[in-house]
Parts: sequence; structure tokens; C-alpha cells
Amino acid sequence: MAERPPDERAAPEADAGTSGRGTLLLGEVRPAAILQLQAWPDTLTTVEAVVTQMSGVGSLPTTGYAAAFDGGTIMALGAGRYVIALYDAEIVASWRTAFSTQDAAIVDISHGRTIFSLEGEATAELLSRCAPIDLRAETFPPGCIAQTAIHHIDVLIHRCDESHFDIWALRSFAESLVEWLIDAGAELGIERRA
Amino acid sequence: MPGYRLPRGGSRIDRLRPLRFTFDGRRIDGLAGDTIASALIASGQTLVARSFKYHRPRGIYSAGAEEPNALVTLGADAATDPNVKATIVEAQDGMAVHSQHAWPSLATDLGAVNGLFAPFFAAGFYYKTFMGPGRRGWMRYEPMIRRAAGLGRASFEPDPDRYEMANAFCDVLVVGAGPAGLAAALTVGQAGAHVILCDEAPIFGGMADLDDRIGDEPAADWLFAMRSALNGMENVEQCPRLSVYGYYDGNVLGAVERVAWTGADGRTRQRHWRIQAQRVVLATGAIERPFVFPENDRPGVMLARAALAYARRYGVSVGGDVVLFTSHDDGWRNAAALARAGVPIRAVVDPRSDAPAEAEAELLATGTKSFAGHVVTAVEGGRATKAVAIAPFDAASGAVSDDGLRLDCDALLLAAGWTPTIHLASQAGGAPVYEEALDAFLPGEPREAWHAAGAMCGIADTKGAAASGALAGADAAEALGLEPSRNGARNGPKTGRSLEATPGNRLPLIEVPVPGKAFVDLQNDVTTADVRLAQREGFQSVEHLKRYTTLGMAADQGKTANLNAISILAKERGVSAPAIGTTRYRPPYNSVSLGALVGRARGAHMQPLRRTPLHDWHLKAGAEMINVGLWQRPRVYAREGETLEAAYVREARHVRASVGITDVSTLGKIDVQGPDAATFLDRVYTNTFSTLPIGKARYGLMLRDDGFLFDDGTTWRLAESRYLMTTTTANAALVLQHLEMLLAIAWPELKVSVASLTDQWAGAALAGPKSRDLLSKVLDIDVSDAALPFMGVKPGHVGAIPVLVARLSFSGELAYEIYSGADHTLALWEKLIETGAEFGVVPYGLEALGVLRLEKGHVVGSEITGRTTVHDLGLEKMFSKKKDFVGKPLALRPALTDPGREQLVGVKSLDGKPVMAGAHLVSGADAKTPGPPEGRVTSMGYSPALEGYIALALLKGGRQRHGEKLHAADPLRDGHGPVEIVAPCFFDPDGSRMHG
Repeated sequence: MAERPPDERAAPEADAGTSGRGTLLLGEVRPAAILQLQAWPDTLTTVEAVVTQMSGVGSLPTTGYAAAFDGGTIMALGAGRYVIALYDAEIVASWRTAFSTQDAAIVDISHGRTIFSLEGEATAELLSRCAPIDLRAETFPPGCIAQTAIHHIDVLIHRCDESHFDIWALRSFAESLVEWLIDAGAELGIERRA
Repeated sequence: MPGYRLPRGGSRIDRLRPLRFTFDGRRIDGLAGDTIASALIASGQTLVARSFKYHRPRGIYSAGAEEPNALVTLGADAATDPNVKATIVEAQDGMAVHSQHAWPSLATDLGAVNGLFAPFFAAGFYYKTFMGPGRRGWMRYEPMIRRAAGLGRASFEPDPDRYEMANAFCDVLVVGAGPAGLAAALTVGQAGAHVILCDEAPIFGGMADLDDRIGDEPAADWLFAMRSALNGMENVEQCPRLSVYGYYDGNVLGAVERVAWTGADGRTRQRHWRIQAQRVVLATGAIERPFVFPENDRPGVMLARAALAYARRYGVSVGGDVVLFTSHDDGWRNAAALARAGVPIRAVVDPRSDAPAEAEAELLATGTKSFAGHVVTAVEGGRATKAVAIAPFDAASGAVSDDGLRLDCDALLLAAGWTPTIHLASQAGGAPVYEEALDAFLPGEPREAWHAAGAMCGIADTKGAAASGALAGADAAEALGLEPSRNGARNGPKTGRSLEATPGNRLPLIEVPVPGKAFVDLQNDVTTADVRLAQREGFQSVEHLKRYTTLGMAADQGKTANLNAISILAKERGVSAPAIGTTRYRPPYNSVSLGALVGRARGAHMQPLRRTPLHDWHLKAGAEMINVGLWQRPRVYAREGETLEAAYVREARHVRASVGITDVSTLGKIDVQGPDAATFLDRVYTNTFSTLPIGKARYGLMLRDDGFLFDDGTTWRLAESRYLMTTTTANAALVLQHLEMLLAIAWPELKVSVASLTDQWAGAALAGPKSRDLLSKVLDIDVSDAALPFMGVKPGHVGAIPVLVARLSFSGELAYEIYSGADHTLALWEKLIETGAEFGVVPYGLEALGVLRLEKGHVVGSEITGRTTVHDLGLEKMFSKKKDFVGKPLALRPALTDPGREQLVGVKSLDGKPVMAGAHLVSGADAKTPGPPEGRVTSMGYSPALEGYIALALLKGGRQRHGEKLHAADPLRDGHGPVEIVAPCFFDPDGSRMHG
């Protein structure tokens, strides 16, 4: 699959806001590929061994967590179900062919997801106005992921660090989601990063 | 004299910051910190409203959310905000405040004539009056009654203000920041929990600021210490102006925050909060209870504690000549506190024979008269209180003497006891429990994780309330596994009330037994006579009393009325109050604006839109877009001067003659892969997919468990254990849910993975005789009939873009669907358009697509309605007899295969007019006697191939009735046209065009 082209569409008007805590920055993240991986109960150990070996992580994240590795991030969505974002185009082909069809199902969803990155001091506050999940640092620390909804749009929220979240959504909803986030962030101050 | 500003005092006002607003155009001078009500009283405004039914003059009654009278309208035009409680909203400079429900003015309201007809407006009058003449009589009265009903008037213009929503999570939510709440928050906070402390008031403290002392400590010092301690705790979030209105399952509470009084300049006006707490401490206090006696609704009559609040917090005296009527010791202390604040107390009236000595002595020393053993029997005055009538009272017999006297006054304060505010506890708990010593209801058993404390548990004194709050906080902290400091206090129950109630030497008198018009519910104008009438007419249950009289149904929800009504009803029926019980407590505790509930989900944000990668292209090409669920799809690409019908007919004609291109990106696409994928598909479809060769597609039908049709689509075999399933746009998510449910619950042993690819792949359909010519020019693969036969699937490239091509036809023409990764679809589409210019390619929209498939009799959602079967639609050949599949057993029920069922047929218009979808097929030619409906039209359109209007329909025994002439009855649109029943495939029945 070819590289994803840059998005040249105009962004909705951003707002300076009045929170006094610095502007929130909304940008887009473009991995080289996004793969969804599903193992089955009797192949779980085999598949996890392959994933561990290929990613180089010490141990795979448990459900509800993400782990970064050199060239990518792996997120554990459920038993034997992972989403792997690959930022290094060189390693994509090897991941695509790493699993036999008997052991796992691997699906390319690179074009089907849009990933927004939200950074700034007030990110958790903004997201608390959007999603009904507990985003307090003690209950949702860096590395946590959650599948929830914002404005009737199914999203996956990944806390990358204290004040940085990635928000994943189906591509067809992306523009609506951006419009919603920009409007939600108006009071706090939000800018769309080129 | 009316109310006025005292020369000193007022803990919440800033005398150095005056402000000015208008009330019905009259200038009102206030001070920063005033509520609208306190400023009105200070300015001498006694009359603020007219009552609901009788338009009686009314004044300010309380100082809080329990206010029944002082509802005002703020703002104008689109920003009109009606039924605002003047006792809660802080006055702002420049505010325009208006009274309600009076014409032409508050002072000379013509509606007061209703008072003359009061006997006709007793409880339930609308069930007994306004009947006839004739059956349509009510239709004449209803508009008039509707105009007369209600208090404030809302604007019909869209609300321009901004409302937000937010979610909060905490370990402990403390509702109410009076002494109990403050103590609870401090205890839990010190134990290390994350606490949210909220109160509907702008300043925390509850009624603690109305006391001089809390225990041995000056109240001001106590409050200062509490506030300082809490301010220093980062783990305690303090939220003033946040009113919790509902307590729901899972320890979830709803609340609304008053952020700004106006939404001008885009400010957020209100914010709705959904709060999820692990434990909740309810410290919601109590509301003062009034007496019930004749003319008790006159302006100038108000709750005693409210008068003290006006004096202490806002430096306002409610009158120049005040009488206080009480039946318990705290009422006397209240009077003494008022006197100390500079409010002239003329007299204290108490039905008990003995008054509390210390308070009485203090008041006597100021010149106040003491009337122990007396009751107030009436108020004199019209638009203001002028005097009260009092009479001796025998507490033992309950008799009132005729030997009364008259006291001149301009304000009467009532202190008959307290009604614990148990609403939230009751929403999340069992039935309230009657406490005889208090003559009040206390919280029942918790159903959610809450602890109750303070005055809501009947604890009357502030120190006791604080102690109970600390106990409740400790209990909550312990329940979380923390170690709170208990300071020697004993453990309370794990949930529920923390301490026992403290009655306070009260005589349980509510209704003064003298004749006259006495109001129980001020806001809905419900009198004691109404309560008794309801009882006599058989509405004896408290729930029936409420509905029949409307008692407790107004904006104040009967906060000062309900308990009194229960007492009166109990006495009337000769039973105890617990035998009557309370009505069911439901959210919201306070009125919640619709704006707060909607938040920002309005206008462009009402629901999200789904856009395909070709969306902008369609707009630039002049497409009229239409919502299909959440998707935006092009409907037609009308040219200048074309009607909708002309546009789609042109597009459809062009497809049949040449080649058209349409965006099919929205179709549901599901990846189905795994060693058991083929087995799985055989189980979910009515026909077989395990036999499908790689590189081929097959049309499949899916049933629900009950045997009815669920969805249809083509599924393509891409590899031995990999398929791409397509679904209808509308059902994509439902089908995926269905498949996931089957894999998770029905067949967890199957090794199958399903994943949505609807957004991953986007593409176009090319249809028409020249579609192959166009495709062969752009693709790098052989697309001849031999290389890519009908229902074949092949990968290829358009330039550098990898694509998947399937030869499928929904239109009945030679046609292909071509998909790429969504990022590349725009480039793919543009390449097809550019290359297709040679062949005259035009884009076509949903309408043309619809009529093309209609001509072929292909079914869509209009026919797959959830009530149709495979047999109904003539698709029996796809119903495998050899294998089992979801829905098969129930699909074979005799009722679902009965030949008399409605079956799919074609319909031709015989009069040149459209046959409307939804029309019924009947045999009667006369619209007035159509005969019974025998079927219904499901889809329709103008057929360019047949040059006439056609439709699909479901008709009883339809397959045996081809050639029959019927009528399509459409009475709502005045249609009743002749039609002929035909086979559902109108065009190219042998399919030679699409197989070419």
C-alpha cells in the first residue's frame, strides 16, 4: 500500500480561548501503516511471541494499555486483539507477512482510521467535556487506552503522556470530530496544527 | 413600610459596588452580591408576581430554590429566559428583569378577575367544565386555556447561548456545602480521597452564616476555618453554583452549573455535568415549613429563615413592622437574630403556651410583644400585607378562640418546622421513613452508595449537623479503604443516616383550623379546600391528590407544600402521615434548561456527518447532497433549470445508453478471515459460500433469528480463508454487531475474525454499455468478459493505485465496482472521470441509482423492512434446503411461508401519475369506498426505460395476481390512482445487458 498522502483540506477556524493555560494543539498523526491483529485462544501464545520478538518490547501491554517500540506502537484492545501503528515504512511489509493465516488474522486499516493528536495543559479538561470516561491521571495514566465515544463517534483515546492524547476515529467521521473538538476547545483555546 | 436596605450588615454584598437593573422598566438599585430578590426587597418592591390560576398578587417568599412566587423573566427576544427564580440568580448591572403572567401590568392585572370565578376553578375543574356544545366544543376552548396556562413565556427563536457538557469522576461527591457538607468534605479530603464538593449557592456555608455561634465557636470563625482548610486541599474540588438535580443508577449524578447569567459574547451560559462518584455524601439540608391559614399568600408573607438570610447576607430588612409566627424554639431564636440585625420585630406569635425564656426575654427587651398560646388566623391586605389577625389557641384541644385581635404589620414570617430535603436520597433509595417526633420524612434505605448527613436527617442544630457530616465523611472514606480521622466519633451505619434526628420542642401544628381561603401550594394556587375536595371525590392516594389538584407539580415541585398537604390529607382521612406516604421522587430536583441537556449538540453539531473521500468533489460538481443515516451522499447532479425528477431521469437514461459513475464508498464492508471463515459464512447466509471459488462474488441473504430478512449484499472470496462481505449502507454496523455476537456467544470455537473495512476501502461503480471500455483504458488487467466474467473479482492497478475490481450490477447494466484505499479514491475517481470523458461518463446520484434498480426489481431497505421474508420477495431459490443457517428454523414456520402473505410485485401507473410510496393497494375505484387494504407500495419512481411511473409493492398473494387492475390509495396526499400489477422486474428480465 502506498504512503498516505498529506491532507490538504482546510481546517475549521481555530479559537484563541480564554483559559490562560496555553493553547491546545490539535494535529494529525500519520503512521505508515495501521494493522489490526486477532489471535485465537489456542494461538495466542504463538502470536504474542511473534509480536514481542518483532517489536522488541519486553512484555506486551495488557488489555487497555499501549506500548511504544522502535518504529511503532502496539495497543491491546482485548483478548488476543491488537492494533499496531507502524511509523517506519521499512518494517511494514515484514509485519504484514509475519503471521500465518492459521495463527492470526491481520487486517490493514491504514486508510480507515484518522488519528488526531491533542497536546496542551488543558487536554484532559477538554476531553472530559467530550467523553464520559475517567481521565484523571491516577486512573488513566500515560499508556492507557480506552474505547469510548465523542459526539456519537466511536473513538479510541490513547494517553501518550501527561498532556498529550491521541484520538483515533473512523476516517469518515474525522471532519465532524475535528469540528466538534475545535468547538469544544473554544473556551480553553485551541489551534489546529498544520 | 415595605422592605429596605439596613444601614449595616450583609456578608455577601459589597456596599462599594452599586449596580442597577430594571424590573418591569422600573430602575432598581442594588449592590454587587445581591440576588435579584434581595435587591427588589431592598428597593421596596413587595409585589413581584401574579399567581397561576387566580392571578393573586404575590411577593417574595423565600431566599432559595424553594421559591414558589418570585419567578421572573430575564432578557428578551431569542435570549428570553422565563421562570427564573429571583431568589437564586445574582443581580447584574444592566439586567432587564420582567414579571410574568400579568396584563397589562403587575399592579393592575386584569387576570385577577379569575378570583371572582374561584368556585368554578376548584381542583379538577377541567374535568368537569368546558364540555360542549357538541363534540368539537373542546377544540374551541383548548387554545384559550393554553394561552392562559403557564407562567413565563418562552421565545420561539433559537436560543443563541452556548451550553456545554462535561464529565467528572471522583472518589466522593459531597452534595451540599452547608455545615454538614463542609465537615464531610474536610474529613474525606484529609483521608486522601479526591472530593468534589458542590452547592447550588455561590458561596459555601449553607445556613451556618445565619447563626451567631456553632457550638462554642463564633459561626464566622468556624466558617472561616473550614473554608481555609478546604481551600488548601488540592484533592478537594469546590464547585459553587452547581445544582445536582438527579441521582441515577451506578452512582451517577446529573448536575447543572450556572456559569454566566448571559451568553452574550459567546460565553458559556450553563454547563451540564455528569458526575460519577464512588461514594456520595448527601448534605442537602432542609427547607423551612410554613403554616397554612387564610390569606397566607399575601405579599409580605414569607419564611422566617429567609428573612434572616436577607438581613444577614444582603443587609435587607423585609419590612418595617414584622410579625413572626412560629411553633418551635428555633423560631424565637430566629426572631431574636433578626432583631439583632436591625429588623423591627413587632410581635412573635406561638401556639404553645410557653416560649423559650432566653429568646423571649431578649425580644421583650427590644419592645417586641410575645403572644404565646396564639395563632395567626388571617392576613389582611391586597398587594401588600397590612395587618394580621391573631387569636388565642388551645394546643390540647386544637380550638381557636373567637376573641382575636389585629396587629398592624407589613411582613409576616412563618416558622412551622423543617422539611428535610430528601429528594436525591429518595431517587436513589427506598421509600422515605416518617419520623413522628419531627412530623417529617427522612431518607429511606440507600439503593446507591450514599451517606446522608445534617438537616436532611432531621438534625436541627448546626453543630450537630457538622458532627454528622464528619461522621458521614468518615464512613464514606472507610468504604473506600481509606483511614479517616474520626476524632473519637463513633461509627455510623455504612450508608444512610449518620446520626439520630433532633426534634427541638416543636408543636406539630400546620393548618390553623379556621375558615377561609388558605393556600397549600402557592405556585399552583392549590388551597386546603382543593385538598379536601379531592379527598371527597375519591382521590385519596397522595399520587392521585397530586395529579388531581396539581399540588407539587409546578416549577418549585411543592418544596414548601408537599409535606403540609400530606398532613392535611392524613387528618382529613383520619390516618397518620406515613399511611399517606409521599409521592415518588423523580429527577430533576430543580428545573433544568433544555439547553443544558442539549449542550452543543445542536445546529451543525446535532449529529456527526460521515463523509466519503469524494465529498468535496461532489459538492464542486453541484451535487445535491442527502443524508442517508449519518452519511452524506449525492442525490442528483442537477443542471441548471432541472427539477429533481428531470435530473435523475437524465442520469438514469445516460447510464442505460452510455456509462455513468457513482460513489459507492458508503456500502458496508467487513473483512471475514480465518480458518473457519467459510463455515461461518455458510451459517450466517441463507445460501452457500464455502463453495464460492476464489476470485468470485456471490449475492447473499441474511436472516434474523426470527426468520425475517435482515440484510443483503455480495460477499467476495479473496483467498482460501478470507472474504470481503458487503452490506447495505444502513445496516453495516448492525451486521458487524450481529457477526461479532455470533462469534463471541454462539460459536466461540470458530476461528474467524471480523473487522470493519467500510472506511478503509472507498470506490466507484461504473455502469452502462461503455463501462468495460472505460475500465479497460485505466486498468492494468484484462477486463474482458472471459477474463472478468459476471460476479468476478480481480486485483489490479490504476496507475500506481492498487485497486480491487468486481463485476457486479445493481443497475442491471454491464457494471463494475472499483475500490482503492480511501486515501487514493479521489485520485482514482478523477482518473475515471478524465478517461471517461471520451465515453461521455457522467456522475449519477442516489435517485438515478434507485430508479435503475427499481426497473430491475432489485430489493433494498424499502422492501427488506424487518417484516418481509425470503419467500415474500421471491428469493426462495437462495434459501438452502441442505444446510442450517441463522433464522432457518423460524423462517419455516407456516405463517411465514403462507402463499397468502404479501408478496413482491411490480406496479405500473395507468394514469400517468406517480404511485406514491406508502400508498395502499385497494380494489375500490372510489376513494371514499376503497375497500380493505391488500398491499402497500414500497418504492417508486419515473422509469426512463418504460417512460412511465412504476413502483414495487407488497401485495397479498401478489405472485398470482399479475395483470390485475387495482388502485393505489393515498388519502393523506389526495391520491387514488389506477394501477396494474406486474412482475417486479420491468426491464431486461433475462439479464442480457449485465451479462454481456
